[in-house]
Amino acid sequence: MTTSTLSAQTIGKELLDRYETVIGLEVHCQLLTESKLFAADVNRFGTEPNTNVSPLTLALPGTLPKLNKKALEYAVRMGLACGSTISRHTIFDRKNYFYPDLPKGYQISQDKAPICVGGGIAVATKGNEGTSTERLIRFHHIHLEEDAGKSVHDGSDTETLLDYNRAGTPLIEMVSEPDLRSAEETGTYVTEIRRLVRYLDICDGNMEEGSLRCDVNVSVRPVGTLAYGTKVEVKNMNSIRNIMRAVEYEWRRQVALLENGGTITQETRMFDAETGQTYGMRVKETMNDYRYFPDPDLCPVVLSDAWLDEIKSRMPALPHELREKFTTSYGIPAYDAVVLTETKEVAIYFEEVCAHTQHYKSASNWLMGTIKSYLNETGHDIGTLPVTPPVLAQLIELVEDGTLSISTATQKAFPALLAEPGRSPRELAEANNWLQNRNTSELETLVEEVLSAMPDKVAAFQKGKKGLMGLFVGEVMKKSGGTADPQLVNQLLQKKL
Amino acid sequence: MKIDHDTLHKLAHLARLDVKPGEEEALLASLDNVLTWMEQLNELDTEGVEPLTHVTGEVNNWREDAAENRLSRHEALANAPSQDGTYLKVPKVIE
Repeated sequence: MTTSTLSAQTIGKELLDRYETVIGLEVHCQLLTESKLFAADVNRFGTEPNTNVSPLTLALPGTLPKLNKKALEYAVRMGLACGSTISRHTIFDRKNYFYPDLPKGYQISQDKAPICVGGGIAVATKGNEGTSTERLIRFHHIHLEEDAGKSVHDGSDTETLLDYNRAGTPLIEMVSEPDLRSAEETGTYVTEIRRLVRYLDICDGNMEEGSLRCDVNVSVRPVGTLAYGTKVEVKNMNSIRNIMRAVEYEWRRQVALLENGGTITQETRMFDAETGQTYGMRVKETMNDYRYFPDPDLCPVVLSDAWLDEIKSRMPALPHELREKFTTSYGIPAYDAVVLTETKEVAIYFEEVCAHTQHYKSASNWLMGTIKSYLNETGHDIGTLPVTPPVLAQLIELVEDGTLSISTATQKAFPALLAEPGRSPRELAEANNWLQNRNTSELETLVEEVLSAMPDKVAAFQKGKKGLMGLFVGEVMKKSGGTADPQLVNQLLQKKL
Repeated sequence: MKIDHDTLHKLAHLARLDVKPGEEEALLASLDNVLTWMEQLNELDTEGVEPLTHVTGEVNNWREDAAENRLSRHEALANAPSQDGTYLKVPKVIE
């Protein structure tokens, strides 16, 4: 035993592995409604300060809130997608506290009867030896609430500036159970939530702009024990990577603290992306006493069967449903299905291609290969790809029926179609003389020429050096100026040899 | 239930009220009165009765999602004690 003090930086893996991290998340998503949760002001990021405001947002006397039905629908959509129980009778509560970004002195939120209860998100966790298991990270509930305004602290030394454009914009908050066990799992969980809200069209998931925000509760406990340790809340992470870094750092910090004989203080800490560390806030935290009570200005909401059915009928296909469909109906590998459903836009594009050709695996290869590289290189997204799904399907058909070689299709035809999106792949291929030579007699002549030019190689092949086949094919291809159909050449060579 | 001085000051702080020493006794008596009156409710048997949160019986007073800004920034800032034409200003809230 050494007496030197451990720190988050110096603590070794052996000690860390004696502890398990227990993580719970509060994820806030800004809903993509036109107007605010209880007022008609425009709900939009990045507009001039204090232009999207109203007497209600500013908490002027004599105003009354009125619920945005769309925001309620979006919250229900998320609940349905996550297998939550939708509350048929829900109310809004006031959460009372004073802060300049909250003009009313209370936030309208949900305490006793949140809109969705339970449910969760399946998260794939990598096990030992590359295995992967799916675990359900349970939701405690999902509730609706209004966002606060934005404080600008760095404009002056003595004053804080306030912009109320964001005040009153609709949020859903997903509160998880403490089911997550590692930084990696936490990253996967937030990625899944972001994917889901984008599929559902209820939030743009932009963490930089703060439309998806996350508070992380982290505690540690010795492996094998059940009692939770004291938890610390960490805020101020604006990317999934930073969320993972914050969890990792807290794990190290808390274990080092405990191993040094210290105790964990229940507190809120801020993550600093520059240093990768968390630090306690100097603001003295008084015990929060929010004195929740039902908001008398807002009457209860009762969801009818008819309206719920209507929402259900408008639900888009979810990532896991599409993965299932792609593997069973289109017969593509599970790996492909995961990649193709990473974003809704790619999944939709793939489906459209599959409506025009039955070579599903080829379509998948195009999307995961050539098209993905093109999008990565150019920074474009698939929604604006000049090559439309029907055109790509035609190109795939040309390759599949042997008219075009795959290399000509990816290296010549695809760039040409990007440049001239109006043309048909067949017309382009004919005009450029890209069609594969499948003329057997012409190719047979080439095969004979090649084989007679290297009798020693032919002899070696016939003695068993089967690897020479590639050389022969290559030579014939060269002689044909790259136009020969390699498969046909292969067949002809086999026959001759 | 008796309200003590600590509770009184905690409540005052939560409401950001400045209670002067001379006002304490009158406020304590007043709050006690309210609580004693409310405590009569405890005599009733409310077993199996759902909590009542709203009394009018009205439900689903919602609106469609239509946006409209009706207040100019100039008007919005007009009554603020301190503002710079773009932002409202308050004394610095963090270090």
